[in-house]
Amino acid sequence: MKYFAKKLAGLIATLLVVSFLVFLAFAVIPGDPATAMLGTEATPARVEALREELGLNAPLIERYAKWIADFVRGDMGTSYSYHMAVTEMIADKIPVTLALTAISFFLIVVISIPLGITCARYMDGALDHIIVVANQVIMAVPPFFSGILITLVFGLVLHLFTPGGYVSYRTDWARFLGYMFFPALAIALPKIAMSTKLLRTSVLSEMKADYVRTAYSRGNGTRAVLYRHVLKNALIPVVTFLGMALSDMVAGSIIVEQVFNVPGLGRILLTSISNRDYPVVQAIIVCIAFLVILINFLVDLLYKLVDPRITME
Amino acid sequence: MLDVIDLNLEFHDHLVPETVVYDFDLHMEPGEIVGLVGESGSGKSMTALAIAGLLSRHDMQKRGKILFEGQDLLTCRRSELRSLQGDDIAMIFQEPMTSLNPVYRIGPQVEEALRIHSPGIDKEERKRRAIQMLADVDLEEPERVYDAYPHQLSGGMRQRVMIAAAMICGPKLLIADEPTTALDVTVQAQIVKLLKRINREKKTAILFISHDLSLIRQLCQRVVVMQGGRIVESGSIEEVYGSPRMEYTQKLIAAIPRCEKKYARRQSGKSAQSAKGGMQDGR
Amino acid sequence: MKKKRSKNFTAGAILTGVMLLFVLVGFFWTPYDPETMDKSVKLAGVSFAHPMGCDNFGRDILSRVLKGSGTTFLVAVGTVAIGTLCGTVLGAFTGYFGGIVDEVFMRINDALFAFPSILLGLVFISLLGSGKYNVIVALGIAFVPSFARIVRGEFIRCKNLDYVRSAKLAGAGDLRIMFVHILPNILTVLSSSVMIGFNNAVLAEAGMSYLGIGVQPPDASLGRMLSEAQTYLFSAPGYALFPGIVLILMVLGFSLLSEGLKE
Repeated sequence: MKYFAKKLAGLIATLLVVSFLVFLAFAVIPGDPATAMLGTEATPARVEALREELGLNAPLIERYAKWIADFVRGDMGTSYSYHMAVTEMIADKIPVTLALTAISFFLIVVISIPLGITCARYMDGALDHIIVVANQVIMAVPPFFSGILITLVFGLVLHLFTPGGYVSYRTDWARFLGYMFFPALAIALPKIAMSTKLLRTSVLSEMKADYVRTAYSRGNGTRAVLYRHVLKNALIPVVTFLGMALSDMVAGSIIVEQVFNVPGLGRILLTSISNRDYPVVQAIIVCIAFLVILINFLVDLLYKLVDPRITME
Repeated sequence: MLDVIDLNLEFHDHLVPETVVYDFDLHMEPGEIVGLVGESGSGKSMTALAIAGLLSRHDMQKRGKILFEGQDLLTCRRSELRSLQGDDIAMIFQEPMTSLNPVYRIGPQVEEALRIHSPGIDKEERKRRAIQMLADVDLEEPERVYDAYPHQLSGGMRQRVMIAAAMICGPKLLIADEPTTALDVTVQAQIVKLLKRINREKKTAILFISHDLSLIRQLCQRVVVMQGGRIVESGSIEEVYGSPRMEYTQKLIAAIPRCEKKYARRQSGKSAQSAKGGMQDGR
Repeated sequence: MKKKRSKNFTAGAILTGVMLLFVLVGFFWTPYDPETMDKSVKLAGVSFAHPMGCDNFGRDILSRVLKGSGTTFLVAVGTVAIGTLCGTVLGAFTGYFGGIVDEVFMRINDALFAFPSILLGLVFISLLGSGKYNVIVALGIAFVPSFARIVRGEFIRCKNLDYVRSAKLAGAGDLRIMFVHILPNILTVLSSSVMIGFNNAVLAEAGMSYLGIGVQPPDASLGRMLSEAQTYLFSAPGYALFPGIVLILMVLGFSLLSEGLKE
């Protein structure tokens, strides 16, 4: 419980620092939001009035406090280019990106864990050699290129899905998932390779541990030693890796969404960057950062579950 | 009960095959405590692992016979070997710090041999026996220990836990591979006392491996001395300690610190008597 | 096991050598002018005249891949240079001196670590605007935290070692100890992270250019070629495949090399 409280305090501190850094970055850029909203033909008086209205003349810290308070209440500001609430713009995009990340995470876990164990168990066998080499190559393929290859092979040649034929989760859940499987696979592939490799190495080194010898001395067979004793120990570094991979995948999904024409956070982020629509960019960046920090927090808790030795110092 | 005949262990992991144990012979009666002594690298631990059936590396060759109640452990099937391991033959190790699985609680680890070899026993009964066993090895608050993780216990406590886990099925042979080396001197004495009591109460034969002659003297009836993979001397404690035939054994005995040697002699005399007395009481 | 690792190293060294040669050739010579359009060979397939075919404007893909991998390479080198330089200096000072500055710096660094580096790159791009040099600066800054963290850890480890203490007793100044005595000892660790950083930079640049916010025309870029090729994926798969394969080989070489370097 104390562990939880300390981690929670750390979480809130990090959230504040991160949001302040982002706020600061967008506060110091040249260019005046009021001018940007009104256009260059606006009279100085009108600009000044809007500045006052937006609270831009207040000190930085005060502006940050107001912004973060609004943010927590769900008011993320107003878009320069669309003149609508940012919250409204991104509300239905967040589930799409989340779903994409969740599906690819699911794929990583269900594919890499059995594969890593199999490799370790039949070390130096034919399958192991093939997977080790394949892993090395797959790790070098950027997700957007594997996305293109998947589009070519599964979409255009095998007709398993229609490239660009995204179906909203509001229309049809099943078809949404069916379409999302392919971009999720593209994001997951390099992580599957890394995770498999890590688990293989980890299992092999744990198999040399003293407690393994103890387990054999009690009459366990190799399978029982592997699944009952080694696996939980071997998963500890994999959990750390998966936590780091998750934050990477959230960012990776921004690119892969473009390959598969998925209208998630990535699309709107890119449009806003091109339009220099800072409130939107700022809100999305903070949202993604919060998501990543939250994931790390959950991984820390999970870590405690897997490894009883973890204590807060 | 246990007959090791002409055991040879040879490793093939280097260019030149390396023999670590030559023509090892050992006979053990039920309920007997035999000491196996030698400096590090003398092959004693390898011999112990071979008898426990834990040397299953592919890059080595095992020749000879290890007969446990007439069954050869070197040639029998893996499943037959496994049905003996943990049930009739149990083992404890040098490093109590790492020999327990760090991510599981003590309870399931103590019960494990019981779960494997007596699947008919239900959960509650297993737990009851495990807690009883933890109490039997002189652990205070056995219920608390049952729910603890290994890292929450001291080295001595962990070695007691290892002994409890090894004894849970009431094995006929307990192989103790330098079980006290990693522990403090005071804890060493306690563990030796505990092993002695277990041997007396449960009639478990113990093969006690150590490089410490004074410990062997406190605990064992017979001793086998190894050097460079070969047996150089064997016999009863009195014979070997009273008139060591080999120069090597003399050196080993001479290496026992002096005052401790006197103490050990007195102790072994006493314990030989008390062991006799105990046997008479038993009758 | 040992044999296998040296196999990794050999394969990595050969592959990296070939790719460096490829990039180097691209700087000085391309079979065609990468910008010249020729309508007659629009989306042409693989042929002797055009080993990788032609794109939708009839430009020779091999020439563009040569130029593009050069751009990618330069951006990656620039990124890693900025990241390593700033990261090493920051990490060295904070790790060596510790104290309140270190404390504050690590807080900020931890916070920045919450951003995947490509996202951090996107933030800086949105502040600086796109283009080759801005990508270098943006990614370079984005890579500083990870390098700083590694160097800081190494400096903390080394600063209490005997050779550092004896250097101090001999009267060496702090700067001399940091950069003459400690730095050479952490080069192995650093070089491995430089290679991994190089790969991440290649992938990040390609990703950003693919998104259209990285390198801008007329600079050719592998990422940008891939995004243009996607439209013609079915009719001219080679247009996407060749730049992609070159990209993979570039990354693969360095990853094998760093794998081999880890002994």
